[in-house]
Amino acid sequence: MSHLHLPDGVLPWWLWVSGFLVAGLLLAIVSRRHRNDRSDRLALVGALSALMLAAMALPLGPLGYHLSLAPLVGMLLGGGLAFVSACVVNAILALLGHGGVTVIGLNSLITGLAAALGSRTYRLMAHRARPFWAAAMAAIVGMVGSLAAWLVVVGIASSTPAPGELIHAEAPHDIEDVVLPRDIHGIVWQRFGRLVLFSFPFWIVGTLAEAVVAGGTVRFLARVNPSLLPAHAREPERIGRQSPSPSPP
Amino acid sequence: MNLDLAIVDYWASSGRSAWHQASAGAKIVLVLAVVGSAVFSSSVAFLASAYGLVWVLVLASGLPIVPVIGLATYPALFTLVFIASRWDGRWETAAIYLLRALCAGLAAVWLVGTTPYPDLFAPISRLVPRFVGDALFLSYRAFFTLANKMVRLSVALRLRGGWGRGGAMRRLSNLGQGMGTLVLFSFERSQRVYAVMELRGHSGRVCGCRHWSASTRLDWVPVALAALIVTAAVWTRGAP
Repeated sequence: MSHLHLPDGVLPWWLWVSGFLVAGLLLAIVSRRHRNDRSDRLALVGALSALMLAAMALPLGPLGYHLSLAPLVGMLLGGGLAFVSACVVNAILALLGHGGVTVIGLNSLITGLAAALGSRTYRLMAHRARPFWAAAMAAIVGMVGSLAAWLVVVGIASSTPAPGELIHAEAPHDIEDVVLPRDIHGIVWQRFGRLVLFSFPFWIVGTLAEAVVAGGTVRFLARVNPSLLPAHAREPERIGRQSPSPSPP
Repeated sequence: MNLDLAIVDYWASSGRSAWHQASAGAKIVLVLAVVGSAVFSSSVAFLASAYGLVWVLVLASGLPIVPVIGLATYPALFTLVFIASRWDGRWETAAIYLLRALCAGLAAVWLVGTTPYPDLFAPISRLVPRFVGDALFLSYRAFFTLANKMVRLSVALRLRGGWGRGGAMRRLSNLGQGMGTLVLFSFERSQRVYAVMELRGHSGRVCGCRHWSASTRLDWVPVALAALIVTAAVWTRGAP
């Protein structure tokens, strides 16, 4: 649970509808861009989406704590195809009650952002750092980006009145009975602060786990089969780590 | 999540109840009605009734109760974070948030527990770009193989001391290297799948199955229930 899936019923309707629209638009753009790809790219998207699902099947501790692998998949597939993977994974998870059905769009945008940022950062870092650290940094940047998006979403949710408040507000009583707080900004910040307080420790642990696992995976691939890493992110073996060649007599 | 997906897939393909026989289209209509009504309703009475109704559907479908309870209460974990952050001293608010998530989650689990995945994904793949719809099918197919590999990897890590020795960082790094073998396997598998697709004359769409829309005699029941739920949600709008 390095990512906290949004459940059904906690967000205002216009927010999750917007999430569906934006995610749909992005999917259309990505699909159009990759419509002439060979079918092995499609099969690869399927296989790596399944890997994300399988990684979530491996509990790392209490409360079903698990990895998302979104930044790692972003590094391997690129941002666009990794977004397709994020949508597929979130749709399947929603059918199991793991994340809401109505918020598949928003959950996919948040997960997809982690993948896209991870992909971009890895390409920037690959020439400047060892595989482990490049992938770990990329995973951290991806997770920070997805956290920022998640905070924006829950921040908007915090600023909307709760169902109980709406009932009171809609009741045909005197205006004094309206329960919406006068100090609405203070209440919003209080709610938002509490949410961050509850979720932040989980996020820190999850991000570190995601970074170390992504680093370990990329280090393994760089040794065993570097051709699987993005072509422009590959680097030659470091000469400094090899034994020095004997100087000619 | 453990291997819930494999278990639910088994329920869907081995179940023989009347709900398993009903068409996927009618069941999807019912679930959309339940989820839509739940997220828009602010009536505790309606939400509790809808939740009870979905449990009746689960029991009538013959799905095993204990695993369903495990799956159906999962959304509560996530919702509790939101409830705690928005706690305003009223139990009604907490109940509304909790029942919305539980109702929608249970309805989704009932749907996948009574509908085989080709029937379930076929209508979804009509709504999304072809590339995405095909990826949905291929991901689902690949999941079972990779989940088995993941379990074996986990066992191998434990047996060889990769999971027990060293600090958490060392263990996670070992897990990452193990994950690397699964990435390699995923690449090889995708090449094999591609070769099979080419050999079988892949036409650009993975599934042209229309079984999901084939109506049965029982289809009026989920559609009538959907209408009833939406009417009740509108009727109880504004009620406590």
